[in-house]
Amino acid sequence: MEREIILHTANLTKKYMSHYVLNKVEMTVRKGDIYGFVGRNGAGKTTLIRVISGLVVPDEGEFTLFGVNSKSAQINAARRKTCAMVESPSIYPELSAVDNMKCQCRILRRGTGDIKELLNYVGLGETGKKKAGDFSLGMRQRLYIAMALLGEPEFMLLDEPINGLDPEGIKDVRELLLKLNREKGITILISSHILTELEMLATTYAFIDDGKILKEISAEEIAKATKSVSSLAVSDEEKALASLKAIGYEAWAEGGKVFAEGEIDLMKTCERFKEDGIYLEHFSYGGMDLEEYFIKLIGGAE
Amino acid sequence: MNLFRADLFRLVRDKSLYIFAAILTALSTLICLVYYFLSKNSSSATEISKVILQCADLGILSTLTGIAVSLYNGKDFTNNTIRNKIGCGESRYKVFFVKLLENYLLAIVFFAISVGVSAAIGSFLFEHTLLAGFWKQLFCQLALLIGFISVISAVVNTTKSMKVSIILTVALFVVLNALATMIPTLSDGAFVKILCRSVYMIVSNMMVPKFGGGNFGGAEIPDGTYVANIGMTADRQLISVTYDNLYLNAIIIAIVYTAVAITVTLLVLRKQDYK
Repeated sequence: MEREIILHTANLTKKYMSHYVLNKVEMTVRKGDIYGFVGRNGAGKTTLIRVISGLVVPDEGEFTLFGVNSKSAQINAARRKTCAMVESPSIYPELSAVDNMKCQCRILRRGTGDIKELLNYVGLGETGKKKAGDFSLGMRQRLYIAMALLGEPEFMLLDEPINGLDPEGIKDVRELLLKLNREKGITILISSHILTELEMLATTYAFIDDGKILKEISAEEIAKATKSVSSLAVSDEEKALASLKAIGYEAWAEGGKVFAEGEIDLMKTCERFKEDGIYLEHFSYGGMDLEEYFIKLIGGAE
Repeated sequence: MNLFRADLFRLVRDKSLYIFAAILTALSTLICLVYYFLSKNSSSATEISKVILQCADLGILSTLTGIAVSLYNGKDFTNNTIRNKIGCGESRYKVFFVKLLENYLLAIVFFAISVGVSAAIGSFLFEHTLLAGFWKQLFCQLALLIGFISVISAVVNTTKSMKVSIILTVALFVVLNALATMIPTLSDGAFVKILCRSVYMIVSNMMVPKFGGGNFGGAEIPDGTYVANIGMTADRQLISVTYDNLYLNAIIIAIVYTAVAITVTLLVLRKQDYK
């Protein structure tokens, strides 16, 4: 059964002067996803998050958020189920963590009873009267996430939430996001260009470049596309394919070569090939990580 | 109401609010003392209402209110906390109107501090008599202050810049006013005089929320009508208008300022992008 669509954009376009920041963007985020939004700086990631959260007015196109069209008067009600962190956490530096939370409670028309609990949840329970302006970047990120949780969001849009964090901060935020997704069932759209981090989180990816979505792909599909393979140039593809399968490898032929998943046992394979009368002309082993996949996708220029 | 409560929560924790209030209190006290020492050397007694109107008519009151509005509204843009409101489903128009109301409240509080302090101190120092049209003048001064604050609110919310708004506030009240007053005395050129007088009249009687009567003095003419001298022509002839006309002008100016400021802001907000 298809999961509920949380966000769907259609033909979403935004340009500044004659430069397209978003160019007919089409993407779909489903309930429960951790949606990794991958692109270079200036590719359009932040602008898209701003459009969804109402900070930027698109020139063309529309989107649906929780089934509500962006041009409908109800879109603000749908936005109440979301929270967005764009570039840097939006907090009042002159207020303490508790006061920032209390201020947000008033905006959200809710009580302040669980502030302590939420601050403990993000690891800021002991900050006392310390002003948020004196927090480290990681602490400010976590405070902002706690403020976002006050609204009990079903969908979080996070723009580069690990940018500028130290390794410990990155780990903290990553674990928190996974916890939110698993324990509270919050759907997360996370943009980043630190792809090694995204690989540990995302269940779906969208690759964006020059305002255009190049590819939208699930984590399983990308694992398949980037997995390590053994590549063999042989005298007889069909025979080699049968031999590899007989040994127990998942193998396929493509572009005049034979491929097998993972690193094959070369000794064993050569013995089998010898028995079957196949000559091995060339062997290589390797794969791609997300970064290489992305670079390949955008044309390898960078 | 939720946005109003949130901003109020933040505002009362802002130290600068209390600094502004302290400055206004000190200024009103100073003006009372100046009037008191002047009256000691004068044969005629000073009426309390004159001192109160002088405190309510202070350019510094409008300047400080303008700066305070620029600061409090501008912080939402410099800290990007405007996102917390719009991103949580509040419409940008609602956010603006709530800010406008807060700014009016701030202007009324600052106005009340100036008037209240001068009334409290003046009650011990001056004669307890009210000038004719005292309440009307006071109301007009408040209306002009509100009109001016509408303009500053529009500037800070459309430019999204605290700095631009503060610079404009100071430019309107201090620099233009000072230049327009000083330059005619420095030059003999008729054109410069006419230009500077025009600028001065515009600044002091149209753009600045100062009630006209205070600039060049006023008088009761023989038929009992109060007139005020609102400026001078290039050949130094006084321009006088009746107080009734000044009241009407003040209210019209306040309404026009507010209407134009709100209309322009709403048009800009339709297509405005936030960081």
